[in-house]
Amino acid sequence: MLCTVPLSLGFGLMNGSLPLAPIEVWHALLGNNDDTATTVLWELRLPRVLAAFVCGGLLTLSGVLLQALLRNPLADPYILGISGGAAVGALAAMLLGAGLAATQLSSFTGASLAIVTVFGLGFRHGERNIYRLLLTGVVLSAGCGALISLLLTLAQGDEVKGMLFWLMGDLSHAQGLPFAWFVLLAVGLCATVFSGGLDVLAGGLDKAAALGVAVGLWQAGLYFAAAVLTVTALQLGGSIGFVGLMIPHAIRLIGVSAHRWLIPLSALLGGSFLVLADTLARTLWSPLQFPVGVFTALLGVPVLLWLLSRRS
Amino acid sequence: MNNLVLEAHKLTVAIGGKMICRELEMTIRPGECWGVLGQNGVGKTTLLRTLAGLHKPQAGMVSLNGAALAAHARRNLAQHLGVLLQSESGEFWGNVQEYVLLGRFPHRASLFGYSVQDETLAQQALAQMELEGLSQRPFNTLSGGERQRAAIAQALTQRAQCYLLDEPLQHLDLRHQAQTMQVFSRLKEQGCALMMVLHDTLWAQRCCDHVLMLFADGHALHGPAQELLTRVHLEALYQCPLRELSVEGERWFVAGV
Repeated sequence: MLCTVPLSLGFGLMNGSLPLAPIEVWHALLGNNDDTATTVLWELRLPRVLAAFVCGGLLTLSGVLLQALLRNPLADPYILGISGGAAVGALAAMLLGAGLAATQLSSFTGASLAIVTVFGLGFRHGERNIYRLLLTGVVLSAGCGALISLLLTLAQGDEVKGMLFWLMGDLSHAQGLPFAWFVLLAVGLCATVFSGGLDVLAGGLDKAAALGVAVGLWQAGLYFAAAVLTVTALQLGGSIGFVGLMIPHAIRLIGVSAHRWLIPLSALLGGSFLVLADTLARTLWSPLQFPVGVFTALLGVPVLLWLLSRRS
Repeated sequence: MNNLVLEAHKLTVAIGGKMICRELEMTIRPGECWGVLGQNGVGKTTLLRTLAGLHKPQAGMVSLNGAALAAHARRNLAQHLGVLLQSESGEFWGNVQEYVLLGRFPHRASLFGYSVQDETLAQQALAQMELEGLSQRPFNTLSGGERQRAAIAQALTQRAQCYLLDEPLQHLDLRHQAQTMQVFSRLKEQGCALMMVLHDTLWAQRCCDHVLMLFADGHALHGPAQELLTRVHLEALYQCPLRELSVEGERWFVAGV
């Protein structure tokens, strides 16, 4: 399973408007000569592939943590309204004609507000009812959806295209790559270290408390970690759906469920998956570039359906 | 084996405006087995959860070896106090063996998994509950009774000195009921303290030395099982006429019509 990582990375590096043979990629990576291939690889393709990989890893890891938090294998960042808040923030900034930095800051603010709202309202009346939390997220997502439609209606022709690309996920303007990698590695490492507690927590709150887990602290920590992961991924590539839901689910269906293995595997496979999807999105109808979010859904839905039907 | 004492001081428990017990005073000592009896919805589960520190009492306190439950770290508490819940809200995605192994979580020395000794204890518990053949099955494919046995095996793996068991016999067939009660009796002989919610007065009679009766009007009665397990008390408790049979020296109570 792990060989998907080098394979997807290689596939991403080879394909593009200037196709490269494996040997050319190798030479260019070593940086021996100073030709077009080297320039294309180092300036364009490598950053893009690395962005796709880290973005996929972040989204998948976020999905795993939220699924442990909500004890539901179908939870993901989108259900909880985090990406909705971020999208409203980003689109509002675009509408006002803000620059890239301001747009990112605004999307971060939107996501943080969504987190605070869901967390505050969902846990206010008692920590035991997980459905209140889920529903708060769903309601907030619906509200954000309406706001997004409103913003799109208010926008002019040119702006709409940029907004749509942001909404559907677009990795061509990825910025802040080192920070994203830092977040992925740091949170991934922490989560792996504490994976035993996650196994217990997924069995239910009372059970976890009875087995010695400080439940409130863990919930807050998980929500915060998942939020940081999601916001980082959103800033990198806009809204890319389906990854956080599908990859952990697929790994569980092939029989890996202990978080000790689930977490690293999810991050690696999620990253590979998004590299693959992004490469296809930018090459299949080249020179047209499709939003990667469309591809994650087009690849994700059949795979998930197949896995589900195989199981039953 | 130990000298763990679980006490309730002036414990008043309520849930959703319903009074479950008022100023309850009781002490569970090592080697004692308590049966909790009462009608459906009278608050047996909530009382048990309160004693386990999972529900906040209205007033009074629960203490373990003289210190309030809240003063113990959750992990420390879980090393001594085992809880069998009536229902689990989560989903467990792994196999039966991994599920049972979670009972070692409070004792785990390393962050990176379980030791050989932990695995041995889990194997022993699986054998005790006759689950060896199912150890590799995904937990969520088990039947209700098998799930219940796995949950008991997990609690046994925890090696606690005091167990709070909410309906340990639910979903179990007759043979496994007898076998499970035998396992609990052995724990009691080893000095473990047990408290279990039961609906079968026969098991209460056979295995429990103390009984706590929770009445619908919020008052509670507790004392030696021999004194309380009488027709008069049980008819008042369940508010229905009972017939008393004597079979081989044992008293059986059946609901009359």
